[in-house]
Amino acid sequence: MEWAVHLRNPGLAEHWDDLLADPLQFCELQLRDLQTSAAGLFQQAVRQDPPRRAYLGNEFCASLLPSLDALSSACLIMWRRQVEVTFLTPPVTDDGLDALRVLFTWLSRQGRHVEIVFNDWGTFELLHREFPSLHPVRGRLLNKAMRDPRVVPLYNSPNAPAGIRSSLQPAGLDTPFVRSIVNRYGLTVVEMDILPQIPDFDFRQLPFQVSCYFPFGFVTTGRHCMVSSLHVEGSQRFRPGTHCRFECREYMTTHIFSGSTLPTDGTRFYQRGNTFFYFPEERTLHNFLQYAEDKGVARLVYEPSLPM
Amino acid sequence: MLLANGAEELYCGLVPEEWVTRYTGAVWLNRRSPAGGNLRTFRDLARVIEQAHRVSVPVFITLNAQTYTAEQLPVVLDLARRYVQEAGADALIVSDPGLLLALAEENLTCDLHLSSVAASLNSSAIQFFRSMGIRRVILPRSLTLPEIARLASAAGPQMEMEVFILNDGCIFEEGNCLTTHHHSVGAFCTGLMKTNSHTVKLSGRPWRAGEAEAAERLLADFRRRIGILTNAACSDSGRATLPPGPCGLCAIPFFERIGIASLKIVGREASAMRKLLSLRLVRAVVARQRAGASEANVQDYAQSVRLAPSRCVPGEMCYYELGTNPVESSQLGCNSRATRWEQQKHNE
Repeated sequence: MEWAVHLRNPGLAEHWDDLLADPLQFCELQLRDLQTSAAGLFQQAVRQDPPRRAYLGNEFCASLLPSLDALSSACLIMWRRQVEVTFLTPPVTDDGLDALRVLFTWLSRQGRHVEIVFNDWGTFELLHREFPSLHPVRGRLLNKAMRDPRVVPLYNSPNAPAGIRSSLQPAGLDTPFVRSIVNRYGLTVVEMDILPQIPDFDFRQLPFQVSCYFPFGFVTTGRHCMVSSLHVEGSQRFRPGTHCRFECREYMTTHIFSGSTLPTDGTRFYQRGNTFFYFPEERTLHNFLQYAEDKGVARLVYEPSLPM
Repeated sequence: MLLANGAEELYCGLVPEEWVTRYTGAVWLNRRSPAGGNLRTFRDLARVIEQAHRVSVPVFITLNAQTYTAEQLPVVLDLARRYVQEAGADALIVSDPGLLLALAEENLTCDLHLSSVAASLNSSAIQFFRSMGIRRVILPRSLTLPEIARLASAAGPQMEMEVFILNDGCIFEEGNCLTTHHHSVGAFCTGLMKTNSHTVKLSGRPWRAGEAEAAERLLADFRRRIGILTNAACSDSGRATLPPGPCGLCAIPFFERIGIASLKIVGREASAMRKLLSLRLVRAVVARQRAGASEANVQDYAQSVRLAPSRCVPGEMCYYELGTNPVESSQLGCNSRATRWEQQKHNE
């Protein structure tokens, strides 16, 4: 099983060795308790075989698309270290597609095997049409498996109705459509989150490789970013396309859902920028790692901090 | 009732008993709860379609879950066949590309509409879905007017465009929200209005004077906006009135100018009264537009019939922003915003 590391900011490429040596330095101070276990598992796993793939970019927010200078600098640093690059892209409007086209043009001219994670069918169409030398990877936003930790542990329990469990189990992977596009377009890698429901099938039976993010998952995102409105007032707040000041890099809001009678009452979510994340329990992380190894997950993407 | 009051298209869903038996209320066949937001029998559906067709109004059926599993797909395909062949549906509203591919092989005698749940934000995505047989795209509400105009222009007249005009309330991108709306926990977004929440600074630097208060105000405003979008607060009294939802009525002249085919009124789970009043509201503004009123007049009229100037004037209920400069338009009243738009038109 391959490990990759996500650099949420291209500037972190210069700190690759530091990050591998001490990932906790790069996590949010406030999430250090949660991250300690994940960092330990990561370091233990890569001790003998250091990661050879870096994820650059962001899959949630078009405002976080890197400039060509920033992306190219980070790529060159990684390639000099013999580290392969996977570039993450978010859902975009036509303006975003224009920006991506510039980045893809540069990436496609480097004579490298570059993966592009698409989270929008328009980006996929663009890659297919104009950049056949780049290698598209279906991103986790296009994996539509329900992953709401407020209910999924209950829906996936042995006591839940069979129909509900069967709806969760394919984990957004073993669906007719995924098989169709893999056949039609030759996709080789499909991504997912660590879901609260661990699928009970063998990934090696799938006609593609599965890549999974570790340790965070996302539950929802969109173009109405709360924190980007910190510097505007009134009705201008929470508008799509607000010109932000990258407030997501400085602020995080934790939300605790309580008041239900379910055993999941008290579930926590972490909001950075336009996206809400969950953090699986430590036990789930351990189990998932074991499971991933046994069941043929091809790649884990370690995220030292929330990927914003 | 809706037909008698001028609806020019209808859309609805049908969740048969067998689906509920197998999947309960937790797994939705389409984007609305089986309880309250859907018809239950084919006889009901056939009756709706027959009445609508009598006055030449088409009926579209939702099959717009984000994804269907291998187990569900044959069931959904069978339903699709029955919607069209037995009941006479004119179009299916679909989100899952897997279902689209399967439907393409069915050669059903109906159109395929792409649900907003597919989150098609760019013209390249529309091109992707066009290759799967889509005839109409329902655009996500998170798109701005310039973005919609660019999409419409790129897609050309062969692709119909539909936009949200009233009552839709999700602050997230519905197609990228993998949470549940089930009543056992409630919708994630409305749940945020009462979570125990706190904001921290990730740098660890101390809060500057007023910074923590600003962050608190931001969270409070965010919750308030969710309340407005989810219909809880679109009235001057702070209580729900009819029809209470946020809207894009002032953009109707713009939509006509760029060739938008259809205006979507949301509310399948709403009461009959709310549906009726929502329809009448939109019809009234459309009638004003079709009568040849100026853009400014249509916008003034739209705001006057909303009966909520304290929320309408600053644009709190608006889906779409009309002004060319967002900061300035927030400081101007409704007439000024209309004037600004007229100015923009002259400049073009």
